[in-house]
Amino acid sequence: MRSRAVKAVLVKELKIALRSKVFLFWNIVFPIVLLTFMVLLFAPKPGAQRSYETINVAIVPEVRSDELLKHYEEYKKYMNNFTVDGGNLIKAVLFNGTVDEALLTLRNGSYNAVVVIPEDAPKAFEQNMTIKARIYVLTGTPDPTTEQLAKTLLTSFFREAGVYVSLGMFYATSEKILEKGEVLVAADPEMGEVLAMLTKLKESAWNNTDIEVLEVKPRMIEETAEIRPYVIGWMTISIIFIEYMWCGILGASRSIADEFEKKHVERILTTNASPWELYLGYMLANLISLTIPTAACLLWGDFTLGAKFTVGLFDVELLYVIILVAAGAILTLSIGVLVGLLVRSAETASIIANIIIWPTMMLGGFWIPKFMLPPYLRIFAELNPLSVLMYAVVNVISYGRGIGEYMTSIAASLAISIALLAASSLIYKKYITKLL
Amino acid sequence: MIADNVVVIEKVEKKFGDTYALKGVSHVVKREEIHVLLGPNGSGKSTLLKILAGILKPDKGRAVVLGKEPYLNPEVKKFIGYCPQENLLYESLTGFENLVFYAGLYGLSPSQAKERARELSEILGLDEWFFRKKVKAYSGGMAKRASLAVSLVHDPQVLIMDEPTSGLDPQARRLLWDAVDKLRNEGKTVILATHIFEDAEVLADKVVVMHKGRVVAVGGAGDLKRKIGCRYALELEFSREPEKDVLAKLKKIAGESRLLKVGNTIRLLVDDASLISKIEEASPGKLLNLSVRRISLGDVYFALTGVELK
Repeated sequence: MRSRAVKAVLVKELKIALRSKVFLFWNIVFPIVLLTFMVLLFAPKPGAQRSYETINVAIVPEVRSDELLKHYEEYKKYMNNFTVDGGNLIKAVLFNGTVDEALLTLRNGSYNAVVVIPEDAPKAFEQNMTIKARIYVLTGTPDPTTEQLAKTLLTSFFREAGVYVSLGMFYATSEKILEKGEVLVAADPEMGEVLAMLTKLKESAWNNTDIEVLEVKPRMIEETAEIRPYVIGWMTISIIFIEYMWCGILGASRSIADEFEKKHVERILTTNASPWELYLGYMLANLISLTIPTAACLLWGDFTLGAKFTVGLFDVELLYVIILVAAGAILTLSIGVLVGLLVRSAETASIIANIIIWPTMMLGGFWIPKFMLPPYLRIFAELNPLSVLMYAVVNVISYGRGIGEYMTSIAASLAISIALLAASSLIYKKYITKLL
Repeated sequence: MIADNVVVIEKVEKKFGDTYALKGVSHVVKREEIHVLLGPNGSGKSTLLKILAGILKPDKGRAVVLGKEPYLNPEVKKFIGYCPQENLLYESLTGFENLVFYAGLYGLSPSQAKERARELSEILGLDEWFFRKKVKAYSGGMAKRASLAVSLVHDPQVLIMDEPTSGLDPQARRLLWDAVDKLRNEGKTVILATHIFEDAEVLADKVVVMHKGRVVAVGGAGDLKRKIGCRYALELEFSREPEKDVLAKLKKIAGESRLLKVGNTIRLLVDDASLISKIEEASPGKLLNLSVRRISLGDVYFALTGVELK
């Protein structure tokens, strides 16, 4: 292996890359813009309370009457008082139209639910103290959590309303019985004990729960700390790995295919450079190229967007991070080389690379955090070596955790990276020799 | 004496799919000679050059350069320079940067490459543009000279050039001829493939006439012209496409293999210029123009293969 030949390929690749506006856009401008965009849109706002999902409800009369309208007003008032951390959980309005019109509006997505109070509701309430309502919940949306929340909140609301009415009646009845307490005890001394119990029940009826809600932060995040810098830290690492996919898989596959398509390889093969020298020079150049988006994202995320990183420049954990990041870069580059060798043109390489990149990005927990994926999709992120490496880096660099508990999956991912590197180098050599 | 045989090609065959590109080609090139492979596209020239450059392997036979088969012994490639038909330079680099890259592949340092670039500047007429401008801004002639410089960076003993003047204007072509002539004076052995017979006339010590993957004839330009036994080419331009009886008469005069008809024009290869009067008699009143010139290698190719070089 001659270092001059390796260096020649490395310098040539870097010069071509750094002179390409397309390369500079995808490696510097794009990751910075994408990271900023993600932080602005999806990171929790600095210092602000986290906002919760509000359920939009339309209350619609089955029949328009003064009596029913009174009910609607009551429900609207109480629904709009349903709050958590000072924020409304339900935003209820009276719908000025028919039930059918309200349901059409629901289907159009303007509301999460429509509540219809049936015509006989006042009567049922008067006769049996029964709360009657029909709740239509919009389902089949991309957001099953909100659907579930709408269903649960509105069901709970009406159940609680029923309990509230029962308690009111119980309270009023108890008052009346207790007013006659002396008469009852005089008639039957054992009633004293019953009345004492009734008094206790009456007093506790409105206030018989003692619940405390406590907020707990993810591991290694200080309890008093804001969560935003950690989320930005995760986003930064995620964008770096997304860049590895774009520039590693797509970039490498295109450039390899392009070298063959434009016959540069043919001319290079007239020299006495060996395939190993060419491969090593190419891989080193691309690894160095990938440090550009890595540095751009880390610097932008840390100094401009305020990402929190727990690993310092002189910490031993930095070594883990470098190994994990390098493994991610090698993995994507090896896939890129393999794709580039298997196709005949840069255009086909783009198509195949995109087929690999998009599902990996969407299902691997890069755009959406892994824990937010449905369980059956989460398996993909758990098994995908690039996701494993990315989350290992996040755990070390953002949350300051060790990698001990993920050792098996990390070791497997590292092994896959090395295996792909070996495969891509051997196929590269074989492919070049086959050209002869 | 054997050491003088720089290139030895023995019964080389190469097939692409079911098509033969080379069919039992044998040839020898001696030290410091310029051999020109002459033939149209598809005659097997480029395939033969690629085998000699070590980027293709023959199916049968062997091609030896400086005692070794380049496709089996990559180390011999450091004595061979290959200038492909397409320039194949990196467009976002300057010519000099391309040269430094290839120098590195041959194991030379950047300073050695710089020194060599200076030497080549004089031979090939490389000016400031070669060092400053990116290849994408080069004209066809500049790109060709830059490509030639790249193939000479390691000072090879054998230079292989595929269609070096293709697509060049007459001035750029003459500059390239001068450059190849200087390389001959430097003691290089040159094997050049072309479909332009003027290249062979000007440069060749020996012309290798190739047709459908075979070597049809080998010799100096003068020898080949003598070999076909015709000294003159007559161009006859008719007012309309000549009729069958006219053609038959002309064929009788010149022989079928020495007659080429393109539209309204017929070319006849003859040894006796006095045949002109017979020819005029054979085409009374229909001949617009008649010109006589000395035979070219293009005519030789036509006489040997029945195919005109375009």
